Amino acid sequence: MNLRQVGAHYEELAAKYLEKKGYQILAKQYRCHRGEIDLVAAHGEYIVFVEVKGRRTNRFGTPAEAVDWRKQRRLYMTARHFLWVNRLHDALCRFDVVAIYTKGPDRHCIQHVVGAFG
Amino acid sequence: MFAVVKSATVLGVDGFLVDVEVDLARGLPGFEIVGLPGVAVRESRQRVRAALKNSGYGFPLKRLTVNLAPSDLRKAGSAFDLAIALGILAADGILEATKVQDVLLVGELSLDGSVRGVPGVLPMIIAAAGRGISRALVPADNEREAALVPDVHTSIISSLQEAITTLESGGQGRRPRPVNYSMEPAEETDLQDVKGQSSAKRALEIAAAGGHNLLLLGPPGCGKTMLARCLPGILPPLSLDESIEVARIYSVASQGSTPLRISRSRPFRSPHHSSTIAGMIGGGSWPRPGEVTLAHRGVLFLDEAGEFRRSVLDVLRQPLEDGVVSLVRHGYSVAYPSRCQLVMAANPCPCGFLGSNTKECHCSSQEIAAYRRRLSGPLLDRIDLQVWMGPLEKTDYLEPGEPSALARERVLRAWESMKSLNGAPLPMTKEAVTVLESAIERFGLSARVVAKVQRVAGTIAALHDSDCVGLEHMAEALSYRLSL
Repeated sequence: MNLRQVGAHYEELAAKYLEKKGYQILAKQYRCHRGEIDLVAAHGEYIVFVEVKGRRTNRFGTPAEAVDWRKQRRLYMTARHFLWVNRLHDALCRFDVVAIYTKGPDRHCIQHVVGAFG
Repeated sequence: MFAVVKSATVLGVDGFLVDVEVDLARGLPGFEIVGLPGVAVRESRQRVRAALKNSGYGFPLKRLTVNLAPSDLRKAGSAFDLAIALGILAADGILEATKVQDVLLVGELSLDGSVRGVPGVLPMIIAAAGRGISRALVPADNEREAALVPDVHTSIISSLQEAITTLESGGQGRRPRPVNYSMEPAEETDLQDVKGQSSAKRALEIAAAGGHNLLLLGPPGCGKTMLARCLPGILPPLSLDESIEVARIYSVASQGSTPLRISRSRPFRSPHHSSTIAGMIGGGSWPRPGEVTLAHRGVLFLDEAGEFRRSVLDVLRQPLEDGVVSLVRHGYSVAYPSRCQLVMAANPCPCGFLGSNTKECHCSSQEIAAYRRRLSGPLLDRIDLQVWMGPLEKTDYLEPGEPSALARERVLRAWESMKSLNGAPLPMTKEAVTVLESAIERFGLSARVVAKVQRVAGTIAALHDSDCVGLEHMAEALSYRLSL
């Protein structure tokens, strides 16, 4: 698997996990000139923007830590674009991070950080 | 989704009320502070967020805008933290808005939700009282300042949680304990430890009674510094209003977390001779009070006055005369009070032994002239009492000195009698007038010097319990001016 395929694999896992928790997936890999959002979901009255991070080890910091200020800024701008395009100016919004640790073939541990920043 | 609460900031030594308006809106989450916030105010976002979380309240996932009104006044410091946090809770409907409005809220939040003291609480509460606000919450660190203003019902708090329960209960909360004014002077040197120098001691007493400026000139080791340090011990106490005036200055200049010393004894400041102009009269882009202001209603003592930079000494001229320092900065100006008594100690020349009969002076006349020039004419003009302190004689060491307590009694009596005159000068006898007139003619005294000599003569007369200024009083006053 190349890097992009790895990323798509993790996003697939995260989408399945969120759907099981009752989230409705609105978009996958939403892109605009500002950047990209891995998943956009609806949860209750919230629009949730999800950044998916996968890791095999914690050696380089936890996945949640890897969403730095610059990445946050990019997600924020992309989210604004999404809200604008879909005419959702008055929505309640949230940014979540879903971290996925690979423990072995088909064995994962998923950590969901609700309202990670914003 | 909107709430407004009251906080305050400080400009100079005056407090100004600030409305903290909080708006919560839907949309992408964010937290913005507008209304000319300084760096520490902008950083309050991080403190407020963590403090709310760690006090058991969530941080609203909404678009959050905080406006500090009036928005054209620059805001500095961390005192808005508490108001912003409580404003957010009120806007989110967690705290009833009617319970926080018209309450002055001041304090810095730490990340765990406890509340830290801030500088300038006293002027803030005084400003609130002036605007008819009758309730305030301030940090426990600033308890003493809160106790000084009885018009405002103040509760002290040590955490965000305590602030919320105090507001919700609508009750008294923790009341500050009443302040006991300390009477001890800042310096504990007694006059009886200073050997000899009876004429300088006499001048010190006159300076203490009348608040006159004093210059002590003499060789090293003759007791100049020690004598000057005796001054706080014989000065008359501050009135209640004056001590609050002084406390206000120290409140603004404090670090916030150290409890304020509230005292009836006069401040005594002795800055080192490497001090800068900004250190002396106050300065910085966000001005802080300087030494002249910290010595307000007290004594500014410049030891080794000849070693100070001349520019630093010369900036003292205007504050000493007017009793106020006006600093102008980009877009605003502040006025700091600076009504202080100047005491200087200096050597007569760089080596210090000019005029001594035991050691020889090795300085050239140019060196001496340059040294003396630092104490410029206009500055010396403002010094009413100029005293030469010679080296000690053998007999001086054995002679028992008079304790400060006795001198203080005389000073207090003279001070009270002058106070009862309400600033009106004592009448002069004919002989006193004649001596003064001849001195004006012979030495060409300036109008300011004449007025100052008259004031000193009045003080000397009061020390002698006399009801008019006689020949001997005037002659003594003139001698302090002309002896050098």
